[in-house]
Amino acid sequence: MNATEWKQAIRNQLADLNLDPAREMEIVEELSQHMEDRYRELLSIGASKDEAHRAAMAELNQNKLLTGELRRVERAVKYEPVALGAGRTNMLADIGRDFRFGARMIKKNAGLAGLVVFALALGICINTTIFSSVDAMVLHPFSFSNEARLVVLFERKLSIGITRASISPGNVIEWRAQSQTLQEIVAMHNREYIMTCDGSPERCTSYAVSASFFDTLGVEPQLGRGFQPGEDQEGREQVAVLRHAFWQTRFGGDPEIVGKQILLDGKQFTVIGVMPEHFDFPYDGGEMWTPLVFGPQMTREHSAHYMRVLGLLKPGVTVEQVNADLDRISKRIEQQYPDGEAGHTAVAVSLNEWYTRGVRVALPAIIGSAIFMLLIACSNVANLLLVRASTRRKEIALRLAMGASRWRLIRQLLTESVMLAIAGGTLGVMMASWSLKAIVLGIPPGMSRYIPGWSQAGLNHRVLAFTALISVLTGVLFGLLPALRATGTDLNQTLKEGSTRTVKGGSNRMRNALVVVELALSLVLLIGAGLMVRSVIWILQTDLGVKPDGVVTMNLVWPREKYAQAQQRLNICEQLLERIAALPGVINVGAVHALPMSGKIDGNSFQIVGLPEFEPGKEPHTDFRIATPGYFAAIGTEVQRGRSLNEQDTAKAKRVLLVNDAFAARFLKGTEPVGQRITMASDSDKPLEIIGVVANVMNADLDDLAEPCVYLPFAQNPVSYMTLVIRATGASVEIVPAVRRELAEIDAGLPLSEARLMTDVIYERRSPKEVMMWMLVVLGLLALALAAVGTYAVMAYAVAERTQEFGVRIALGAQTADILKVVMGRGLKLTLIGVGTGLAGAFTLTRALARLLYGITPTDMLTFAGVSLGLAMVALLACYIPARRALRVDPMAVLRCE
Amino acid sequence: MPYMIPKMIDRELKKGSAELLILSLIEARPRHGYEISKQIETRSQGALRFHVASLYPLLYRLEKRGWIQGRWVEKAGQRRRRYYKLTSEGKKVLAAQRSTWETFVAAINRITRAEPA
Repeated sequence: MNATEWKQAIRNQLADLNLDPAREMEIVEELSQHMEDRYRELLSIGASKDEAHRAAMAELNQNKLLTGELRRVERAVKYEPVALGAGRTNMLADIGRDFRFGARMIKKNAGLAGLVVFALALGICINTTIFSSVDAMVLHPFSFSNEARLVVLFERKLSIGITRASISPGNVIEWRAQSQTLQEIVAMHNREYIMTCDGSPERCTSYAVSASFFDTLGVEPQLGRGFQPGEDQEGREQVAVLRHAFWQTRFGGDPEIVGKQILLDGKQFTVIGVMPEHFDFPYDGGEMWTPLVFGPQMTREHSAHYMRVLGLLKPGVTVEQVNADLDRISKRIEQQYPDGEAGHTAVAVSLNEWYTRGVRVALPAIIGSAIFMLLIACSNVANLLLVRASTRRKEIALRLAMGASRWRLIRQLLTESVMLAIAGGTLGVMMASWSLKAIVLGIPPGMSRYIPGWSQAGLNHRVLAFTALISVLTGVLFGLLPALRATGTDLNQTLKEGSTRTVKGGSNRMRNALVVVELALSLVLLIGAGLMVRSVIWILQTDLGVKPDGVVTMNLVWPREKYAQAQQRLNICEQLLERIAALPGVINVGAVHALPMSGKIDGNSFQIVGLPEFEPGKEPHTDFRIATPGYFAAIGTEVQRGRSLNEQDTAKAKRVLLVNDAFAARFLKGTEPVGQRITMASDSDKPLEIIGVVANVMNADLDDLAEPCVYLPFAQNPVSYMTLVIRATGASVEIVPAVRRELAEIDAGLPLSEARLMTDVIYERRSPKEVMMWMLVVLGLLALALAAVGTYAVMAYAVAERTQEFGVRIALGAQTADILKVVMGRGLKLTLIGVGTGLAGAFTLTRALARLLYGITPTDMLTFAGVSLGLAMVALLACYIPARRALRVDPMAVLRCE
Repeated sequence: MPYMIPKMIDRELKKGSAELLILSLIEARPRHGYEISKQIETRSQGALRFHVASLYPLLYRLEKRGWIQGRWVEKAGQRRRRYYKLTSEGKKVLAAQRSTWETFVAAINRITRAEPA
């Protein structure tokens, strides 16, 4: 009988006691020594081997005394020790032990764990931020309870390419009467008022809306009430609901505001309510809502199309059914009103789809970027976890050798990964919360017009659930692979290895593959960022058709009641422009009814005199602006041929207009435009002579110079609202008080509003594109940082693994260049494969950015080459740093350790 | 002293005195478990014997109470063994138990000795 056999016999006795493995080993060793001594003693007094064995075993097994006594003395371990792989398990206790053990292991290697948590936090922060933003901007941009059933209605005239046009008042009435699919139809139209409150007049914009507006949207005022049925009828319409910000700034947030009287255009209106803070629909800069009254003339109006209309679907009705209904109604209306409605059809688009259309263009790029960042972060995490698992090979092999099951160890390792993932997720959510606050504060206020819901972006339960899910999934998925690899080791080989022997094979290949993936994904993001940067630079450098520097704009409105006569408006405008021109510093002054790049434009169809008439419904369409003689000089638009407007173009003179280059090129190609005549549909019996051609002006989206536009003289078309355009030297906003004083001297009741620099007008248009650009730049740089860290970690570990090899090489005479070649050669190979893969991906994927790019193609070679070179240099630097460490290996120290 | 055939000592007596035996045997110097059991057998001339199943649980109980302390010791040319020594607490307990035992034995002796005629 040898020591091993005594030990096994003793272990059998102890098996039921569930002792701590270390304690059990101690007891077994001690008792087996006693048993051996006893056996020898019995042999020495003459017993045979069998007799001695039997006697010794009898003493050991004595009535199960040992087990019974030890059970009273020794404390049983409450959980199954992994090392000894006992058969019974206690799941909850195991999980608790796994967490405690995992925490100890994480603390032991805090640096690597910190890198993992940070990489994951970054990926999760970016995804949470982007998901929150998408949730607020696209999925839930509105807080209306009826949002899902709301549609925006448009008229169309497809024969001349008009796909989304405003509605005529007459159509609103007809649709209300005839629709079988819409429960409510709400009309909206902006109305300018001169508000007098506490003595001083000021201009304000009101959204004139149907009485059912608030109920249709499903919103409640914060104070007071909304409109009641019938309040959009003549005689009952003098009520107003204030916008929250207007109530705060103009009325100091007066809690007694409901019931107060204000004067609008000299009429008494009662304030009946105040809307909640974030409600600003339809996002046109209005300060209040007032009822829209349909006068008798408006109900028969089918020629002027200027209303915006919303519809509320009946329960269970789809948008397709509404469109079929509108088709039917349109055909009937066309027959009834051929003059104004020939060729007009109607279309309904869901409210969400219409108002998020700008963001939806960028959505594939935004979501793609977020997914890429998460993949890069997860690749980084997987790589770091693989490195971590590699450093624990011996520990895992030992535990497997001592009887732990593979599944048990995998569960242990997965628990550690999930713990890291939860830590990363928690940190990521905190970072996302700060990022969202910073973004909401940093976005230009005017951008909310184009992206409703932006200001409400923030963490919510949907976002937190999403983040928790991706955290845990990341921990499981990207911890599973390293766990499987680490526990699939060859025990014998691993236990016999020296501590720094290189492990070749699957683990290295996996790490290399992950580095390649990170580099490739980073390259795609960086190329996207590079393309956006060049696109924005193109926009900044493109000739807009105006010279905005030094130009101030201000809006002027003439109240209808006081300035009902055209001559009154002409006189005021002429006097004001003369006075402003005489102010010190003013170079040019003019006025226009729709400022370029402000989003405002009017359009009309026309006929060219002398050419065959277009069929009704097939007339060409053009934008038009109404301007004063000094306008083109003030805004900086070049008159290319003929002459500009002047003081001779009065109401009694020949009717004239200017056309832009795009109009001439499209409709008067091959002929001399100056001298030709056209008629506008709204005034078809009064032909207009073309007196000049002006340069094109960029459209409101800053992406097209080729839209035809004509300019009509204000003297012959005296509308009731104009925007002053003043070019002055020095700091232009200083001119504003002087202009106000001049106007006050003409009419103290006429205010000016929205004084803005032309450069700010253009910036507001450009800023969404700049925001997109900055977003991609930041993501690209973060991706680059993560890829660099991942590359560095893998190379650093590879160098550490081969320390002895380098020591031996150096001892055998290898030079600096030889060592560098070995290390950098591997790094260069990974970089080239990563960049090559990334380029292939970028060629395909950057097409998603096509609609966001201006002046540049999605496969611009200069961008591709430049960014690839930059990334390659950063990756090689990440390899060079550990390579330098390899050069500092002391061969004597290494060989002594061997 | 002739080697006597071990007699069956009453189990309860043995149990009550076991701790005293072990504490006193390691008072002079540390001993390992087998040595302790051999000392008990030898000094009791075979009357008392503690086998492995009863000795070691007792040693572990005393160690848990803090009366003795076990330590693995490796001497030159030998396997490592676990030696037990008396702690300061153990010395106090030994003194107390010894005193109690002596008082008890003296009392029993006074009662059980034959009375003079």
